[in-house]
Amino acid sequence: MNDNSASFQDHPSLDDRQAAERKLCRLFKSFGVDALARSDRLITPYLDRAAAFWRPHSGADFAALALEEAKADLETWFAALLAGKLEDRTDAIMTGRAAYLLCNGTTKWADQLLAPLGSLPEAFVDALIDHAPSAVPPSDLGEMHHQPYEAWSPASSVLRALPANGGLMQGLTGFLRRDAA
Amino acid sequence: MRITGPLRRLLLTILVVVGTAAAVRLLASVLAADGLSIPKIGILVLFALTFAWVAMSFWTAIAGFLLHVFGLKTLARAGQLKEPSDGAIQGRTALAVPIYHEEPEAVGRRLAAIYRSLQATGQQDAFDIFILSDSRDDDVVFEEQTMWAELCAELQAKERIFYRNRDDNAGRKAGNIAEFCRRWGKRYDYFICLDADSLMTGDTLVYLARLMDTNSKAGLIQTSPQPIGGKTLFARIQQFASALYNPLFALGTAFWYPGRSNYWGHNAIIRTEAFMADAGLPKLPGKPPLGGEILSHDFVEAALLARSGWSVWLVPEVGGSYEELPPTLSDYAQRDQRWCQGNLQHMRLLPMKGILAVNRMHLLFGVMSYLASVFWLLLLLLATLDTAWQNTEQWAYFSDGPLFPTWPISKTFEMLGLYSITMGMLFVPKLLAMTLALSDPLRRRGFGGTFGLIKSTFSELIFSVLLAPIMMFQQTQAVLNTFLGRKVTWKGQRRGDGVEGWGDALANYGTISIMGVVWALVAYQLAPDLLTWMSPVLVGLFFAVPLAVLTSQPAVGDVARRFGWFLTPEETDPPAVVLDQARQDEIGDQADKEGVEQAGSKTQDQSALSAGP
Repeated sequence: MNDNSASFQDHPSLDDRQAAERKLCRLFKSFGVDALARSDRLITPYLDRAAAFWRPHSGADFAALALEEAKADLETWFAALLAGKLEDRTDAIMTGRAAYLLCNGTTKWADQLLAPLGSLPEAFVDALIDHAPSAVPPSDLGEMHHQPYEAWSPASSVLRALPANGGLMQGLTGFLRRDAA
Repeated sequence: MRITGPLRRLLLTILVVVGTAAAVRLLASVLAADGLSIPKIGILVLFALTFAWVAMSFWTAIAGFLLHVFGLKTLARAGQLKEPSDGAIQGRTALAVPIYHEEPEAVGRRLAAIYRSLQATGQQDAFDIFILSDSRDDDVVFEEQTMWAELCAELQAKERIFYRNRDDNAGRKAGNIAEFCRRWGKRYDYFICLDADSLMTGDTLVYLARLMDTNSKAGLIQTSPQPIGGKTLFARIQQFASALYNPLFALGTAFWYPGRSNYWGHNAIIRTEAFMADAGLPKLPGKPPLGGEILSHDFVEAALLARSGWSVWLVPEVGGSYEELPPTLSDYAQRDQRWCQGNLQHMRLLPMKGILAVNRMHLLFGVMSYLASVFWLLLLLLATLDTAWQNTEQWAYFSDGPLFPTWPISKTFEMLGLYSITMGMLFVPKLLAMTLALSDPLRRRGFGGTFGLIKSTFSELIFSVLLAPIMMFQQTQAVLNTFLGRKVTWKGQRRGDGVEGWGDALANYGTISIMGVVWALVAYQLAPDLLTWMSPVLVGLFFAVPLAVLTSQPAVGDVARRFGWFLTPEETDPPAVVLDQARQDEIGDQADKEGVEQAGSKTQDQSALSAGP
């Protein structure tokens, strides 16, 4: 069966599409961007790409597919822009989003999110790079010394309980000694 | 003459041992009047254990009360924890916030409130915040990262707030903190461990850092967090009880254990170098439930620090430290199950070499906090059995009390005396706390005025009486589950704002209620008087289901608040940081609501257009 002859059931349902749109809206809302206002770039392409992969009864979640497509684009986009700032490409969205919010991208460059790299204003790219934060500071490795477990036998535990350092008997004798002095 | 910690604890031990011995002697004289039997010996042993446990708590509250009344709060520091001077903080401090599948937005609001409060002190440069995620769910991780990005932007806190998600969550919370220490511990002199629901004021954070600067032998300083933000009736009652009674108990605890106090796992400042060198958790020999990875880490870490000569302080007089409580009885019980497993594991640590005697006591108290329920249940069962046995012997031993048999007439006076003493030890601390609050105009107003405070205290007393037998059963079940190596699976799931439905409550508490009914019938058959005396226990069991449902309702909690029930000073006159968080919560809730409505309507419109056949 080719695409042209696909029946109605071969397409994601209205509910699936709505769920996908909600997820995409939520994703872009985390950048302070109203995705529905820019649906040609931020919603429709991902619904289309998800639809290309999606098959009925495959068990695939259409909304999750659309979200994955958008995330993949975001990762590629930010990784290209913040290449020198990232230790790990997987941090691209996290760092990129913080940079975008920190440089006021939401208000100053709301239209630029996921725009073609070659068309981005230089000021925006510079601001993004300048504001990109580190998720963690540089490591300064130390050691956490795990204490060994050594136990007294039950009998010696009881015998040692009172006179142990800081114990009651020590306190009493110390107190009496001090008074005597 | 300075009264040292060991001497204080000697005094506490004498008070508890002498009081318990006297009570046991009195009970023994009654029980032995007609000869001792095995059940009676069992009753005596269990009574001794539970009475000692109650006595310990009683004398802790009394110490706290006396220190309050005579204005001697500073005695709790025993002259050893020196007051810091104002000025710039010397050491750098990390706020370490381990999270695991928490609600990211709520965590973010709390951290924002803390950060703004720190900014107000002008000392924020001495602090960094680390969000240490152990979450495994990708969606949750994504939300957490969003929260971090928004925090950085909103607070202009680039390179001041950090986020990391661990590849694996080995060692759970303790492992999370240990990993933080290994990677970044050397960068910070101190770290303050915060739970996801912790809230602290900037002033308190700065004060704690200065305390550490001033007291170089202090390894850990624990604040006494006050519960806030309770919406359900259950949470509101618990937070009221905590606000009213904790000042007494915490100050008493600080007095008995100066420099040898305990760690409660959060809202405490820790000397990083000491922690890394001396507080790495050992792995216990054997298999779970008692062996393997240490589940409840805080008491053990305090013990390890103390073993290496570091002092551990509780500073209840330092305010500005808050936490939240489980919203429902079931949530509370689930947390209890977790803590129970961890605390019982501490039995394996009691004989660990080098641990100070006082820390063995702390560990033992942790164990006892769960075993006490088992002992109490056994005591009640033995009392019932003994009554049954006496009845077959034509003796009417058990018609006068839930804990104590009915004795020959000549011993009734002693029994009533003993019963009154036990009840007094349970309730007098609460009444003293109320009296103390009534005598302080500011606190009295905070609790809703004289009438509000009195009616709330007595209502809480009734609630605690009803709750106690339910908790007794749940904790006993938790102990059994732990020893059997089982994990409790709750049949019901919490919904929305902590509401527990009737179906869930029936599944969770139906058995307890049935046991209450059966017990009541048996008691009635044995001796009607026994039923009368046991009624406080049985009524609690019988009403477990409706109690769980009713107290889980935020609406009921709200009605109680509006009528001046269970108000707390933090609620009546909220500190700036609490107010800030509450305001953010309101804005967030409103935005979520509007967002859902807006997205819903827009999506519907657009989808109708874009979704072709």
